[in-house]
Order: sequence, then structure tokens, then C-alpha cells
Amino acid sequence: MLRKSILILFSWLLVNSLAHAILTIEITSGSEGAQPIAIVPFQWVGKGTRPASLKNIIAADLQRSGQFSPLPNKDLISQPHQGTEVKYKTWRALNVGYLVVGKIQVMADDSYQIQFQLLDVFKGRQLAGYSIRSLNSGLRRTAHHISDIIYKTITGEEGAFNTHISYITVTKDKQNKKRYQLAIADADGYNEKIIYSSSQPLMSPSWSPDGTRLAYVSFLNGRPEIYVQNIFSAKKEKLVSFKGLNNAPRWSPDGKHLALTLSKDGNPEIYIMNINSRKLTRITRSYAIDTEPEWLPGGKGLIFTSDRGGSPQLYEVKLNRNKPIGRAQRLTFEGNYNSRASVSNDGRYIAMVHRTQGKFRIAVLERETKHFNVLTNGNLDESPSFAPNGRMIIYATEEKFRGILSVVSVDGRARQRLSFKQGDVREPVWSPYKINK
Amino acid sequence: MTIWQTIRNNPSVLAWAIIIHVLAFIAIGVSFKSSDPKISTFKKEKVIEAIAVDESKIQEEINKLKKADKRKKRDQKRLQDKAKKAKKDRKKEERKLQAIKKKQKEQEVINKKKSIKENKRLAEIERKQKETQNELNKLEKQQQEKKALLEKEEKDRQEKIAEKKRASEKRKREEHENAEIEKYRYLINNKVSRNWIYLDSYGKGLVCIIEIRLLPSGDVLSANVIQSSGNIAFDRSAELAAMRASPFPVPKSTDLFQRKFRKMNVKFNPTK
Repeated sequence: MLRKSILILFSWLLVNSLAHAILTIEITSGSEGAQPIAIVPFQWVGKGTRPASLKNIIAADLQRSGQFSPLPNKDLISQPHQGTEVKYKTWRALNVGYLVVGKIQVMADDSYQIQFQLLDVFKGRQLAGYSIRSLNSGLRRTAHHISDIIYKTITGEEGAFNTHISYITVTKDKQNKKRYQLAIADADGYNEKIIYSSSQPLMSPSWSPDGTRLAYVSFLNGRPEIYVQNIFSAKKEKLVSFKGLNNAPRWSPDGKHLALTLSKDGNPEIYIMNINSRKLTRITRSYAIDTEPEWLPGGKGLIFTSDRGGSPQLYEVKLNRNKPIGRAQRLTFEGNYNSRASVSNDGRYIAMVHRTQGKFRIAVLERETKHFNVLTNGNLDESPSFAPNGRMIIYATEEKFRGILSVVSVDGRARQRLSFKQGDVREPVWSPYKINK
Repeated sequence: MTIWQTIRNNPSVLAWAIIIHVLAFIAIGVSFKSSDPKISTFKKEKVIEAIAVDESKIQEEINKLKKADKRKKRDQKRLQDKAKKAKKDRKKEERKLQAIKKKQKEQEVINKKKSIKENKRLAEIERKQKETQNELNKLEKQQQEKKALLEKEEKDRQEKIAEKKRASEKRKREEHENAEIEKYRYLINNKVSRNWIYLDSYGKGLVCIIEIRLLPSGDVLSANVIQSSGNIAFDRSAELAAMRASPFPVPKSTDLFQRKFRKMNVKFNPTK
């Protein structure tokens, strides 16, 4: 009897648990790809000529991140300008997950009131909606700002569209003499500003962590010396001028130090300089060439290029209060040329110039997994620099014997060429998030 | 001789006369009271008597009176005797009565004793009867229990057979159901996978669970993250995949749908 009741109880429990067990389906694969997003051209409300297309700026931003795949205009089945006009069902048929609609209202003072909404097509609801006042001249920045909002809403991460880049351009003047220029521009290459121009070569710009200054190498005095310049006031000062080479400055994360390459002791070695006291700490000691230092997050180490192993490779040295700890460890083993490291903000990725089959390309090493991924397919791709969110890398490449800039997503899926009307563009560096003014 | 002489000579005559009269009155008092004619008759006689009186007659009367007296005495005696006898009889009767009473009492005591005994006996009998009845009842009950047990055993046996049958049917049904579940699980997996667009670069080792609510048509009513991967882009891609895969392929059986497919979890785990 007892046994029977136990049996009954047990089977009851079993049946009960089966009845209440929730069916779980496990999905282990999908298609690798960017999220489709539809951005409807913003409605223009008012007189005057229509300025730059917000839609195009936003679409290019999102495309460049590699996370989104904006629908081409011809695929837009209708052109609503606010959420209430959207017929979600028709957009669902396009299999597009997100929809951006908005309008630009011209105000009396010629500024713009921009309204936009980011909509979840399948859930039929608004994910974000803003009304932003924008100056006529600030329209592109407002567009980047909107891109950042969309990016953050959908991915949860900061976008890096409303940031800047700095780079060196080389042009020829009327006498056919080369002019070297230090430039800053929006992250998409627009709104270029030349902040320093020289007849002598300029190299290796580096942003201060607060985004207000640039350190760079100038050959103004016939040999490489390091200058620091305020980007707003254009005020500059020569910071480092030892005998020999003064190269490859990189601002430390705390903004108080520079890592740099000096050959004052005969052989190019890595040093750390305290900017205030000008005190130097020597980091490397080898007969080989050690150069192109790059800081790890938090100043916990330096990654640099060295040919101590016979070919240029990346090495890492750990730091404690800017003093080296132990021997430098080699990081790269793919191929016989890896140089010019750029580290993502979270330290997860190291981008570098990698030579493969005689061509220089941008590659990424994922530190934890040691996954090595070549992202670009040019012949002479160089100077990779991570966006502050670690999702994109800007680099210089060659197109028709002219240097241009391109952006590639960290997974190599999206590559976008930035347009420059003229000149040879080199050595781009991406700014930190905020440029304080 | 006149009556008065007689009386004078023999005053006792008068006394006797009075006594006789009184006695007569007493003797017939009851009838005198009750019957007027008798009185009148008696008065007449007396009147006649008074007229026809003479010596002999007086003598005779005296004799008569004497006789009467005698008779009266005799009567008196007789009465006395009678009374005596009556008294005696009464006494005798009383004694007799007492004897009877005594006897009755005795009898009563005996009876009482007898009745107690009898009651005891009766009670004993009754008890014995009850015992017997109980015994009988017990037996009957035992028989009934035995019968019930047998019936129950039979019922259990039948039930077991039915249960076995049910179990086997249930197993069959479950097997069929499981096959159905597997089929639709595969179809849903396929459709959601096809609709899942994500990037490896979202991060490594990301896993999230989306709770899906379906309409009987398979249309997705809601898809919500119930266990986040910690990466919003990944979670959203999973939610979108579920929404894009709407309508889900679902079984036609509304019962199975209600139990298994109305609400389900989809786990996105590309690391596997």
C-alpha cells in the first residue's frame, strides 16, 4: 500500500514536472551579419536649400561600424516622418528590425530643430526619440550625435561617431613644393581643419587623453623632434629634442607622460617621459631597434615594435608606476612582419600592420583567444588606430598612388573609405570620446 | 279495671308501655318516617285498643307485653349476641384479614425476592442472547469483509489491467507527442536560426534566453529576454530573430500547443 502510494506520488510528480517543464529550443547558429536598419530621409520643413542629408550621414556612420546594414533608399517602401505614420506590418515584410524617421524644422534664426525616432519594427514601438536643436554649421555633428544615440540604444555600447580624427596630409604648393599639414576632422573625414602646416615632414600625431592637445614629430629643425600643440589655440611647444631621433610619441592614459623612442644613447630605445618634470625612464635595453610604443589601458604596460627576434614583431612590457617589470614578451608570431600596435580601449584587441604575401595589411590580435585576423586587403595599409569604443579602426591606405583613410570594423566585416578631395593622407589617429573646450 | 288502675296497680305497665311504644317507634321508626299511611294505621289501632280494653285483655296485654318484653329481651340478647357475634366475627375477620395481609406481605417479600431473582435470570438470558447476537454479527461482518476484500482484490486486478492498458496508451500517446514536439522543435529551430543575424564581435561566450509567447496560429505574441547575455546587441539580435521567425511552425493539436508551445524558451548559444 505504502509502496503503491509512493509510486503514485512519484508518477504524479513526474507528470506534473513534465507538464510544467518549459520547452526550450537551443539555437547554436545564425547568420553572421549586420542588423538591417531602415533610415527614412528626414522631412524638410521650411524654406531655403536643404543642407547635407542627415539620412546619408547617419547611414554611413552606422554602416561604418560594421554592426548595421542600412537599407538603400530604393528599398524604402514608404517615407513616414514620425512614428504615428509608420505601418509596422509593411516594414516587417522587409525583415528590417529597426526604422529611423525624423524631420528637420527650420527655425526663425536659421537654426534647425531636429526630431527623430528610432522604432522597433517587430515590437511596434519607439526605442528612442529626441528633439535636438542644431546650428546650421553643426548639422553634421548633430547627425553623428543621432548615430551615437541609435548605436547605443541598439548595442548598449557608446558609439564613436561624434568624435574626431587627426592625420597628416601632404600636398604640393604652386612651386610644386611639398607641404606637410597636421589636420583634424570629424570621424567621417568631414569638416577638416589644418592646425599646423610645415614645409618639413610631420609624423606620428598622438591625442592627449582629454582631447585638447596633440603631440607629434616635426622635422622643422632637420631632425625629428617632438612638439605638443593645443588644437584650439594652435599654441605649440617643443617638448623633446634629444640628440638623435625623437620619435613616436604616445600620450599615457593619465595624460601626464609620453612614451617615445629616443636614440640619444645610440640605439633607438623606448622611454617614458614625465611631461612636467621632463624626467626620463628607460624602458628597453637591446641592440635591436625598439620603437612605436603604445600604452595598455590604465598604463599597465607598453606594447612596442622590435626586431630583436630577427624580424619586426610586437612585444609587451609590463609597467609598475611607469617602471618596467621583467622582460618584454613577444606577442605576435604570425608572419615575419608585425608593427605599429594600436590597443582597443578595453585592451581586448591589438591592431597592427601585418605583412602577408609582400603586402601590408591591417590585422587584429584578440589577446585572450590569440585569434589573429587580417582585416584589410590593400597593398600598403598602415597606421591603424582604434576608435575610442574599440569597435572600429581607422588606417591609411593607398588608392591610385595616393594615400587615403579608411575605417574597418574590428571584425573586418565593414570597410569604409573616407573621402578626401586632395592630397596624400597619412597616419590617422582617432580622438578620445570628448574634446573638452 | 281501667287502664289507669292498671297503671296505678302496676305502674311498671306504663313504663313498659312507654318503652314498648318507644321500641315500637324505634322498631318502625324508619318506616314511620318513610311511610305516612303506616303511621295512620298504627294510630287507628291504638284508638281501637283503648276502647276495647278489659282485664283479661290487659293481662293478655301484659302477657303480651311480657312476652314482648321477653321477646324484646330475647331480641335484645339476640341482638347483643348478634353484636357480640358480630364483634367476634369482626375480630375474627380482622384477624383473618391480618393473617391474609401478613400472608400477602410475606408473599410480597417472596414475590419480591422471586422477581429479583427472575430479573437476574432474565438479564442473564438477555445478555447471553446479546452475546450470541454479537457473535453472529461478528461472523456476518467477517464474512462481509471477506467478501469486500475479495471484491476489492478483483477490482484491483481489473484496475491494474486497466491501468496497464492506460499506461501503454499513455506511453504511445507520449511517444507520439514527443515525436511531434521533436518535429516542431526542429522546425522552429530551423526558422529561428535562419532569421538570426548576429556578429561574433558582439563578444565571446554570450548566451541568452528569450521567452516566447505564441498565438495558436504560431504568431509571436511577445519575445522577451528572460536571461540576458550581458550584451545588449546580442540580446536584441536574439529577440529580433524570434520576432522575425513569426509565425512559428506549431502543431495542430491545440492541447499539445497549449501545453508545450504557447509559452516556450529559446536559448541562443552560438558557443556550442
